[in-house]
Parts: sequence; C-alpha cells; structure tokens
Amino acid sequence: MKPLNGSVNNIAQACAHSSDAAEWGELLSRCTPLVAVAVGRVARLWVAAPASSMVDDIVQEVFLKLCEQDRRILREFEPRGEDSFFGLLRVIAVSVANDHFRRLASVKRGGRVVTMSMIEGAPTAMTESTQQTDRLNQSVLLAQLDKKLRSAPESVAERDRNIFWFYYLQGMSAEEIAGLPEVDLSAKGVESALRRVSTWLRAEVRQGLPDG
Amino acid sequence: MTENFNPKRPQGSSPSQGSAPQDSSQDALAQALESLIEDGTLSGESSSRAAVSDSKSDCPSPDEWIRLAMGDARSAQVASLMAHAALCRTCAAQLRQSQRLFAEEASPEESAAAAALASSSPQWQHELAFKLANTSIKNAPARRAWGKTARFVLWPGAALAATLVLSVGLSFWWQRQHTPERLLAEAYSHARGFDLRLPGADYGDLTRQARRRGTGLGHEQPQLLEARKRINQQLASTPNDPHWLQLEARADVLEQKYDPAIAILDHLLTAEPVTPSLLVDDANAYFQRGTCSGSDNDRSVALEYLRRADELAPGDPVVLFNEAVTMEDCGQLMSAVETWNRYLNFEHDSHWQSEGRMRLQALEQRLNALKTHTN
Repeated sequence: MKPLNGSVNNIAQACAHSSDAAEWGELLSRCTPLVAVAVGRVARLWVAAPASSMVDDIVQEVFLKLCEQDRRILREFEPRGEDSFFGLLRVIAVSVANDHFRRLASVKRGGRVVTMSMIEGAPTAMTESTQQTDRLNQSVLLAQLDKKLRSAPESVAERDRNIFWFYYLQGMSAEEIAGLPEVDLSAKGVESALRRVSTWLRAEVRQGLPDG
Repeated sequence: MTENFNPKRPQGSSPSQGSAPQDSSQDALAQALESLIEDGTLSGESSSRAAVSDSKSDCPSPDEWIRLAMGDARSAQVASLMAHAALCRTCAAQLRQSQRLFAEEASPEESAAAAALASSSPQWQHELAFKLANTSIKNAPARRAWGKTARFVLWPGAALAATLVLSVGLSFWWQRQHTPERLLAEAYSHARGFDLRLPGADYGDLTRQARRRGTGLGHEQPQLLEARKRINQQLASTPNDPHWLQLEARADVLEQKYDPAIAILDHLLTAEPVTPSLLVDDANAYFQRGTCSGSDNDRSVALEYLRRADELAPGDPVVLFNEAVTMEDCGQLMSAVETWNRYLNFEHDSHWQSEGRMRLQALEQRLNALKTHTN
C-alpha cells in the first residue's frame, strides 16, 4: 500500500487519476467530517430535523460529484493555499445539498417549501387568543415605527433601517450585522449607524408627527 | 413605560394589550421604541422577540438564503431579502444560519451530529472508497491498467485500427458534420436571430427576424428542417431520450416556440443530470421568452441558470458570453464587465472575440456616461 501522508491537496490531486481504494479511503477519512457539517447546515435550513440517512445520502452524492465527467473537478483542481481543497469541497457540498433539497421541493410543491420556525415562539402560559392579541399589538407598533423609518430615506437609508431592525428586533450583534451582505460596515460602523437611527427615530416619535 | 418589546418581560403583563394603537398612539409608540432600544439587544435574548411578520408562505425559500450566502444573488434580490429578514423572525434566523454555511469552525453540536452519522464510520467510508476508486478516469491511468497486455495486443491492433480509421474516416466525418446537433448549429449561425449563443454554433451575424412567436415562417432553413426530421425519427423510437429531447427543445427555440422548449428543458433539468449545455439551452429559452414578453422573471431565471452553468463549466466561452449579455440585460453592469473580461480570456474564435470586445466597449462607454451624469 502506498504511503498516505501529505496534504489534502496532494491526496485530492492523486485521487484524480487513482484507482487505489486506499488513497480514496484517506481522502474520505479527511474530508467526510467537513462535508457532513456543510451538508448538515444546508439540511437544517430546509428542514427542522433532517434525517441522518438523508444527510448520509447527500454526503455520498457530494463525493460522487467529484467523480463526474471522469473526475473533472479533481483533475482541474489547482491548490491555492494550504488545504485549499477543503474550501472547494465546502462550496461543492453546499451546492450539491442545496440542489438536492431544491429538487425535492420542486417535486413536492412546485418549488416552494414552507419551513418551520427555527426560533421557539412565546411561552406556553399565555392562551392562544392573548398571544394573538399581543402579537397584533406588537406588529402594529412595529409597523408604525417602520413606516416612520421609511418615511425619510434621506435621513435613514434602507441599509441603516435594516441594521436597526436586525439589532433591536432580531437580536443580532453588531459584529454579526457587519458580516451581512451589502452592509459594508465594520462593527463600529454598525454601532454608529444604530446610534444615528435611534436618535433620529426618538426625535421623530417625540415630535409626534403624523405617520406618513 | 410599557414593556411591549422587552424580551424578558413576563408575558401577559403588557399594558398595551387590547388598547394599542387606538388611544394615545404616539405615547404607545414612544414607549414601544424605548422598550425596544433599552431592553432588546442588551439582554442578548431573542426567544420572545416580536416581529412584524412570522414564517409565511411568501417568505423566501431556503434556496434564496443559501444563494445569498454564496454571493449568487442579484443586487435587487439582496436588497429585498435583507429588508424582509430585518422584519421576519423566521427569515432572520435563516439568514443567520446561512451566513454560517461556509464557516470553517464547526460548533460542538455540528461536530457531534456529524460524528453520529453512518458516513463517519470507517466501514461506510471503506465501501464508498472502493466505489469511487472504480469510477472512470481520463488519460494516463487507463493506459497503466492495460499494462503488459498492451504490448502484445496494442501494436498489431493499432495497425489494423489505423487501416480501419482511414477507411471509415471520411464517412465518420460526413456523419459528424450532419448530426442534428450540427445542423441546428448551422441553422443558428446562418441566420442568427438572437443575441445569446447556441452551444457548438459558429459565429453568425445578428439578423433579427420579425415574426410572431410560436409560428413558423413557412420557409424554415433546410438545416433546421433536416434536423427536425431526424430528431423526430429518433424520438419516435426513443421518446424519452434526454439527448434528443434537448435537441427538440433547441429546435423549438430556433423556431421561437419558447413555451414547449421550456417545458422540455425544465423537465430534463429536474430529471437530471444537470449539464452546462442543458442549462444554456433552458436559459436561452427563458431569455428569449422574457425578451418577447417583457418578463423580468424569465430573464432572471435565465441568469440563474447561466450562473449555475458557469459553476459547472467555468471558462466555457458560450456560457460566459450568454451570462454577460444576460447580466447587462438585468442591469448588473459591473458584473457584466467582469464577465466580459473573463470571456475574452477564454474565447479563441476571432469573430466571437471581436463581438465580445465590442459589447464590452459599448458597456464601458455606457458606464462612463452614467458616472458623468451622477457626478
């Protein structure tokens, strides 16, 4: 049996042309945990509690993908840094898993899947009707605040309005928000935007201006 | 002060229950805002946060959050997804999760879940390793496997093969030049009726024909008629063959029958395997239909398919050309410039290259004009 040392990049490149199950076994033992985690993340976005057999099937699908078209992905892989194959594999795993669930969704109901809430709702002590009333009140007030924020785009840009809600309503941290697409601010920048929007909104509400 | 949005407040104690927002709505609003700002985030709890909207059927599908995380969403889509997630509890959670898709570090829960899978067992990996090791390989190793046998069989065989190759060469060449696929490509190049490219087709000048959608001209090109005839013959014996179905759809696109083309190609994509040429054909059908009907949605679908084709076949000039044209059409001018530049690195046909360069120049002029206006 060949020695199986070396980086994952080297092993992946070797597997592009190898019929040696030992080499493939080495690639699988190094890569399966990463693939399983990536597939699990996608699966939990689509279904609240994905079956482990389903995740296993997709993990297998990911490795079979590497072998499509005479192992094209492996043949064309060019290392771009230490263990860069892991980065490529993560992207492939996410893409394969997403395609898997998308296919399921389109077969089941024409492309639209109703997902289950990932966050638990209000405590169970409240009766359903009280919860509904409370939620309605909250929604009305929040909608009014949102309307105020939208009413002055020259003072509160769409991005800053989103930042405000992500922070105060959705409980995201400034660091998390800074990492979101198109926010394009540092965590400090997010905090500064939050101060600006909060101050503006407080002043608006205090003035008691009519909505819209 | 009310505690309407305080995640820690005892449920049912909200003074606003049943009264807001009719009376003293400004008061309630001010109190709600203070409660939101002062309590909400500082506690770091989100379990009972309010949201304007909860999970609804009009929420984006997980696919859209995943594409967003992959940087695969159009800027207009990004803006709309972010605005939605800002006010929707379920989608904010999905956004959060999707942003962790590519995180290198696995959480202890994720690691534990992965370790509990059958795929983490040596037995499972051993079996799959055998399966993968036996998949087909291109080039060198195949020759190695022949080993010694090749020495005794290959050389005498090669002489015979060379003779055979010579004798059937011309016949093969003729057949290859007249496959339905080739005939369709010729029909396209001979009278190129739309901007996007057809897989395998040579360059053709744009000659837009005005005719009603879905109606033939009555005097179709001979190449197209011949291709149709042979595709129909093949489909009569193998009606479900994906190759012939794809060519049928391609012929439909050339005849501006976009609806049947889309029906066939969508079905083939769902049935798999998904190939770049299938995605290009479907994108062509959607783009052309969108152009005729003015449907933004059709053209967005076309772009989505071309992006997928680009992922599957990076560096394919046909994919890049069509992707750049579609991006420009969808208003993604900067992305289109980038894609045209990529395209020019991969295109070797001087005619196509020239068209690509002209389109890029025109686009850059357009961008410069826009900059001048905004300044």
